[in-house]
Parts: sequence; structure tokens; C-alpha cells
Amino acid sequence: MTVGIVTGAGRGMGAACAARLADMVDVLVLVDRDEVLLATQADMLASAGHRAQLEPFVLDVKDEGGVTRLAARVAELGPLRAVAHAAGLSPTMADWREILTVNLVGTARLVQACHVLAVPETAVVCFASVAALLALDQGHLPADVVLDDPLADGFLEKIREAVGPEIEDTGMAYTWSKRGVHRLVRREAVRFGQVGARICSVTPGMIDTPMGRQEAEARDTSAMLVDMSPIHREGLPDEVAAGATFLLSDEASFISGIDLPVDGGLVAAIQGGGGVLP
Amino acid sequence: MSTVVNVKNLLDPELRPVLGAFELPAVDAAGVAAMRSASFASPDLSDAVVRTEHQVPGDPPVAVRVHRAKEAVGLLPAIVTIHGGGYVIGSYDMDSPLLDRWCPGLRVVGVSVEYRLAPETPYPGPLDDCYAALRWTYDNAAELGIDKDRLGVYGLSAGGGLAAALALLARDRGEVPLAFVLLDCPMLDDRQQTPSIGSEGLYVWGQASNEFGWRSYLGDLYGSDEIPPYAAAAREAELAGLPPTCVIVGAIDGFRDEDIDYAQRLNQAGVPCELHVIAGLPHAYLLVPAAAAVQLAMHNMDDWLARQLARLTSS
Repeated sequence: MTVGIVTGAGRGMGAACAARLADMVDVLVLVDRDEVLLATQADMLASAGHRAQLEPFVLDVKDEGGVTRLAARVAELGPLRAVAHAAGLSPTMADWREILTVNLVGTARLVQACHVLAVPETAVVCFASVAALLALDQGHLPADVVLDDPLADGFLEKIREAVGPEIEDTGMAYTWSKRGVHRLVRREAVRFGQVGARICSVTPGMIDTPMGRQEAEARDTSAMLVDMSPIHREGLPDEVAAGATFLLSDEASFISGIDLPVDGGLVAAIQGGGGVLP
Repeated sequence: MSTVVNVKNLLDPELRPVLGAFELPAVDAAGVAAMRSASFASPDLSDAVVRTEHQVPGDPPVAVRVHRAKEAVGLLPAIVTIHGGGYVIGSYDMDSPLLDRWCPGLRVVGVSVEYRLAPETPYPGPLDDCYAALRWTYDNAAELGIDKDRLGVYGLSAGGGLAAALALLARDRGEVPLAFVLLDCPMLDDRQQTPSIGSEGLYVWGQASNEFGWRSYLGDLYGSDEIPPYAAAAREAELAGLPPTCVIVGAIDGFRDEDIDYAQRLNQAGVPCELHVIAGLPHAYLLVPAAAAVQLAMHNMDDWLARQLARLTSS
């Protein structure tokens, strides 16, 4: 009896991950803050006939008590095999504080909750973003020191002080939150390795999702970035889910602490191919 | 009957500056009120340990604190810790410094118990609280990241008495398999007849305090022949079937003889029991952690625990 968790399972890349993980584990806990989306998605998956028994779990990942309840439920169900943590907020969805709280603090809490659940078979994948690789491609001391302790008291004030007031721009907050996820995964790989468990990140490029479309309407750069991708199109949610599922699978049993960009070559084109930063 | 020994001059010289400088007042009803108002919280606890508060459901609920190294991942062995204080004072705060050492050092989870105190709550209330905490730890092991096959108890002084009684209760109820029991100068015997408790000049915990503690804990049972072994583990005749145990006690502790006798009887009953008697140490020697003899006692405890955990991991 193995257990999986997918967050942000109601739509987009999270939903795509759920469809794949439903064939990898025996019980799949589907997490989303939107109860209606979640129920619809669970019904769709159930009617498609997968291996896993599905368990919808309404939760906003910024709710600390909720994350604790989720971990308690998983502990009841059985050994934790796979976590695809796709839930997150993009720049047009909230203010800077909430973006950092959900994307980075929430991720740190979820990963921390997995510490007590980790067994040798456990693998975790966190969703980052190509924005962090493109806009913040160097070392950033001393902000990184603050960024590396997202569960510290007063984290939001500390990171604002370290980065500067520009972090109040939601695009910047988003970018820093995802940089934090990249760095968290490397640190956590050392911890999870204590029991032989693994953790990685995936970095989606320009993907055709409801969230991606909302961002594209708000920013001209989205179309430009699609244009700059060596594979001249947007990616599909399932193409990212395929990368995430690979990292979670036994095929990736010796892979931990890495980031896997699933971006149609966008980072390569910009950083190595003579492109210019947006 | 042997002559009464005065232990005043037998104190380890390194403890003399602290324990020899003043005489601790005997614990009585007035002293209890004063000591309860003191805080037992340590000012500087480790950042490497995460402490979370939980309420064990029951009537009344029991507060427990779960201690876990921040870096620790996966299912770990666990130690339920029961603080000292003669059954009448103390707090689970007293165990936090100890678990700051054990949680990262031994890769264990600590569960410290805020049990109710006598005389307001006499036997069996405090023991019931400890059992509720033990049972809760066992039942919620997966959620707490605890390997339920590697669960032990530790107790100091009255907490050692409760830990020994808890081991009897766990054995007899058969609900929670205990893997090890560590008793640090445990308060086991309400009869107070041994040469060591009859010594003159006892440091920290003398006859008057001891009598007050037992009177408070046993309530109406005190002085009767109706004391159940769960109230005073030294009274248990059948010690077979208990988990591997370690007993540590100072040679000038009033509890020396009851502790040695208990360890002796554990071995006679076929229970693997290690016994350390350290010359020159009085009761509550941890008040002077820097002294070499105290360091030896702590090393012996840590080393014994590490050997238990190694045994359990390889079995």
C-alpha cells in the first residue's frame, strides 16, 4: 500500500501529474484549495479507471495546520511513495506577501511535514519556474541567506530588507520565491538522503495552462519567450508531468537534489545561445 | 544494622562549590508552593531541535512536548522522558536541555510529559498521565516520525520512579511494547528503610523531603501495607519480562540502596540490567554538569542508550 500526494491537483500541471501518479501509487491524495475544481478533477480521474484509490483533500498550502493534518492523514494511509508539489501562485494571482508565503514558505512547510514520513522509497518533486533561472542567474548574497530560511520568524520582512522594496513587485516576488524552491531542494536532498529518500525540482518553461494564459495576458514577455524557445511552441501540462513523474519513478532512483528544466530549451537559448535576458 | 554514615565529606570535590555552599531547604508544603512558582525553562535551547506542543486527549488532557532534530528525516527511535521533583514539583521544561543533547546526538525523538503533581493529584493520576502520553506516542508513531519498535522511557528521580512503574504497567497491559528503560537515580521505594536513605548529611534530597514526597504521592495509602507496585516499583516482586534497563545512581544519594537492589533483582529475574554507581555523587548531580564524575554519569547514559539503539536497529 503506497501513498502519493499531488498539490495543485485541480487544474494545469498538477492535474496532469495526478493523472500519471494515479498509476504509480495505491492511494493518491489530491490536494487543492478549490473544492469544486478538486471534486471535478477527482471525478474525471475516477471515471478514467486508474490503479489508485483517490482521496480529495481541500487545503491551501499556506495553512500551516492544514499541512499538519495532511501529513497526519498520509501517516494513517501508509508509506509515502511520491509527492508532486505543483501548487503555487503566479504574479497576477496575489500580492507579493502571499506569493512568497504560498510558493516558498508553504513549500518549506510541506517538505518539512514530509520529513517524518520519509522512507527509502519516498521521492518528492517541487515545481519551480524558469523565471528564477532567467532573471536571477547569479549568486545573490546576502539575500540568499535569508531566502534559505523561509520558516524563520519574520521571513517576509527579512527578505524585503535583503532584496529591497522591488520585491513588492509581484513578478519579483514570484521569481525570488521560485529561486527559493530551487535552493530548498538542494538543501533538502541532503536531509532526505539520510533515509535514502530523494527530492528534486522541475522547472517548467512556457506552458499552456490556465495560469500561463492569465500571465500571458498581463505581460508581453510571455509571447516573446515562447518565440525564443528552440522548440517554437508552448509546452503541454502533460509534458511537464512526464518530467516530474520520471523524477518520482524508480527510473530516477539515483537522482536527487537536481533541477530538471522542462522548457523546450528556453534556458539554453537565453543563457548559452546568445539570446538576451528579457 | 550498620552504622549511620554521614555523607557530608564524601561529596566529590568538584561539586562542593555548588552543593556545599548552601543547604537546600527540605521540600515541604510551603517549599512546594515557592518552588512551583520558579520557572524550569532553560534560557538557551538549541536551534537544531524543533519542539512542538501536543495535547494527549483524555480527562484531563496531558500536555506533551515532542522534540526532534531539525535535520532528522524518517522514522526514528523515541524516548518518553519523565522529569523529577519528588512527585510534587517540576515541569517538562526540565527535560528540554537533555533532549537538546539526545535528539541530534542519538538521532531520536523525545517526548517529554507534563504530568500532574502531588499532593493535588496523588497516585495513580501522575502515572495515568505518563501512560496516556506513552500510549499516545505509540498510537501516533507514524505521524510523529517514530519507529514504534524502538520506543523507550527515561526518568529522573521521581520521574525514574514513574518510569519504572510505567514499565510494569506497559508489561502487564500488553498494549505498548517498551524497548528500553533508563532510570537516573530513581525514587522507587516508599518504605524508606535502607542504610542510604538513613544517611546523615544527604545533599539536595534528604529524609524529610523524601517522606513529604511519598506522603504527597501516596495520599491515604501512605504508611499502609496496601501500596500497589505501580505506586512504588520497588514493591513489585515479579520483575521478569521487563525491557532491558539501565540504572545510574550516585553513591551518596539516599536512593542508592533501593536503586542497587532494584537493578540486582532485575538481573536476578533475567532482565538485562546495567548498573552504574558513581562515588562522590549525590542526588540530582546534574546540577553540576561540568564535574568530571557527572560527565562520566552522562557518558554512561548516552553510551548505554546508543548501545540499545544499535541493538534495536540490527535486530
